[in-house]
Amino acid sequence: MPKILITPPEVLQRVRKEFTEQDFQERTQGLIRRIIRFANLLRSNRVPVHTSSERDAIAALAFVDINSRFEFYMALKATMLISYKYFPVFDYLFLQYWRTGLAIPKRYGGTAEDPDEGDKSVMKQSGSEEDADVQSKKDSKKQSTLYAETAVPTYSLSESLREKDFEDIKPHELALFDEIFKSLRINVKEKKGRRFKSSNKGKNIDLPKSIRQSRQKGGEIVKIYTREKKPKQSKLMLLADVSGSMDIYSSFLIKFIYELQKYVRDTETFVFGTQLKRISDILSYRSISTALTMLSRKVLFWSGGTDIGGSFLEFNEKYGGKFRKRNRILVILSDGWDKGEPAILKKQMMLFKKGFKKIIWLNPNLKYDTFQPLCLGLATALPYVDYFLPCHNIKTLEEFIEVVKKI
Amino acid sequence: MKKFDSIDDIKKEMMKESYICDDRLAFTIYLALKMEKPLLLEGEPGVGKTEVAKVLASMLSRKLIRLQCYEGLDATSTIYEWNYAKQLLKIKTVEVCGQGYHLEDIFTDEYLIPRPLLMALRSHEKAVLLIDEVDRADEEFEAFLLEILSDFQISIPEMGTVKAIHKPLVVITSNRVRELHDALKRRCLYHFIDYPTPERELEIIMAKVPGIQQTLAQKIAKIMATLRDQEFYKRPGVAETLDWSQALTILEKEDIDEEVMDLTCGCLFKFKEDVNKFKETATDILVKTEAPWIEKPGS
Repeated sequence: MPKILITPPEVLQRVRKEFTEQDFQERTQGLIRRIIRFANLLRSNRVPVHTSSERDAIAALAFVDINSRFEFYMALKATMLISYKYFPVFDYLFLQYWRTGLAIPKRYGGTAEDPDEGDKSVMKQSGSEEDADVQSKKDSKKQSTLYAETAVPTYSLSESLREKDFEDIKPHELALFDEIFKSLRINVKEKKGRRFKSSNKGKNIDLPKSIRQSRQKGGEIVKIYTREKKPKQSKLMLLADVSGSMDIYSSFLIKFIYELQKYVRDTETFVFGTQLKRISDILSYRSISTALTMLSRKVLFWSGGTDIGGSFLEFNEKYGGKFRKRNRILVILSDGWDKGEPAILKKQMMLFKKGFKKIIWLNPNLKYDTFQPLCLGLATALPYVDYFLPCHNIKTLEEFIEVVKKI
Repeated sequence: MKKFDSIDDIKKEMMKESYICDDRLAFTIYLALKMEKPLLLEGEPGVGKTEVAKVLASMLSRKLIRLQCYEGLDATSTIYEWNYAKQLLKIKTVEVCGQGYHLEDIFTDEYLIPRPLLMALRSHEKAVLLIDEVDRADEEFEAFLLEILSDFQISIPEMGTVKAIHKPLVVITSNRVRELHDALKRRCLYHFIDYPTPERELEIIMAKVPGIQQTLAQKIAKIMATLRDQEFYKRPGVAETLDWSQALTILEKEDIDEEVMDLTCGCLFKFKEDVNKFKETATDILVKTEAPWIEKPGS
């Protein structure tokens, strides 16, 4: 690193006489140490900074005017960060640690500027260095426990939020939840089907293709092509209860169903309360907010009573021929509170059992350990159900996906 | 040979190519040039990520080698491929002539078909290598890039390592369709291009659309800022702004009213739902943008 950059010109002029080679060395090393400590501070706040990035940051300083705060800030930012997600945390910590701030555009709300905080954060960092080391890199990406005294917004998913009951969610957490729903990459294509597709990773030799391709090369087989089994997707048939008793959950579950319909091909969704309505078309809108507004306009029996048996009867009579297929998995989302006739429900469940591949019942009340299927509707239907699962938080929904994968 | 020793130089030169760039981007480019490190640009669609590479190439008078990524892209179409047919012919010829041959004879430069990445490394003049929309390619493809990005070399098992004659300036763009791997990201300088402020957008319109009136451009910039605050499936980027401005100049419109917005909404939105929403809220947007243009100091 060129020495001249370490020392501001005015300082050079002032102390020209007593400034020695050793001083230069010390100043350089001091700065490097300070940058490394800053990187550690970032790490302890769950910002992944790789060792090579530290090296790059120090190398970059050779090319910038170190007296310009803007250049110094940009150099560290460009070299150390790997995602825009960490910009707010970085900006905050930069202000705290380097105690600058004038040169940084305050776009991400870097307002909490308190010069005394700077020292504290350094102190704090030295204490937490240990657990920063212990923590693996992957961990640091996923978790989002924040810098203790700050309220920097974070984008990463929190483990605790995923396990939080939909019932207890506060309005200000909704936005974060929507983010989590959006980032769920639902993939049910895990089971291998019977058909093949060509693939470089496959272990089976694709003889027809190899021979076909060899004709280009005069009949010499130059490359052996391979194939693997094509993943098979389970088709889903969703019946969601939107009656009054499910009120708290249905607004979350409908968002989940929206994502499900986006990622799993040929998913059909019906909602029921006192009546039944097909909403697959409404949920296929590209924007979730449009879909939800349309839903509130079109589904008039939302938060009403429940007639599970009657709704299922309507389904079987109106849509059964088209949608009751052995290649579909039936998913019923309901708490089982029913005002209808158990005898009708029983008959419909028997039809479902014959007509679908598997029946999964998702019940939000299953979260209680002491849960007993006491309500009449559920007690009638349960013998026909293959999987009886909870659905009161995101974690259980993910477990549901895992179950679907294995069917 | 032009020298780019400060941010202002870069900004000025890019302005000449009619690309308006802000301090942060200019500085990251400056650093990428000085440190000879790849530049990773992320941002919403249509904010001019690809344009940066094009402008850099013409600004530095270097050749632009472009690699458009897509799903299923593999090493043979990006790095190099052996010319099998030629190799087979060679073997046949040698057999017929009755001479012996060594395996090494057919694994030479003569039988190698270089693809963009190898071409960029072996280029005799300095080049700009644009790897466009890298997030569309499979994750395996990122692994091929690692060696090139960190050491500027490619290992060909039969021939050995090819080192770059001149290190190319690598620009990688990503639309965040999926997260890139950390290993790739940390080899690059990272920059996130955001939507421009109305003031900057005005500059961009004035630079890119000749013959547009200042008042119209101001109005467009304001409308765009309002639109981006709202929830759309695909928010309009700078590319859409320019299309729209172009359309309005061709139509010789001097002011924007609901009718004009109705006619030209195809420039801004490409989805039916977005178009509908735009039409519904057209009046609101016009009312919101009635306020006079305020020049913000220092922006």
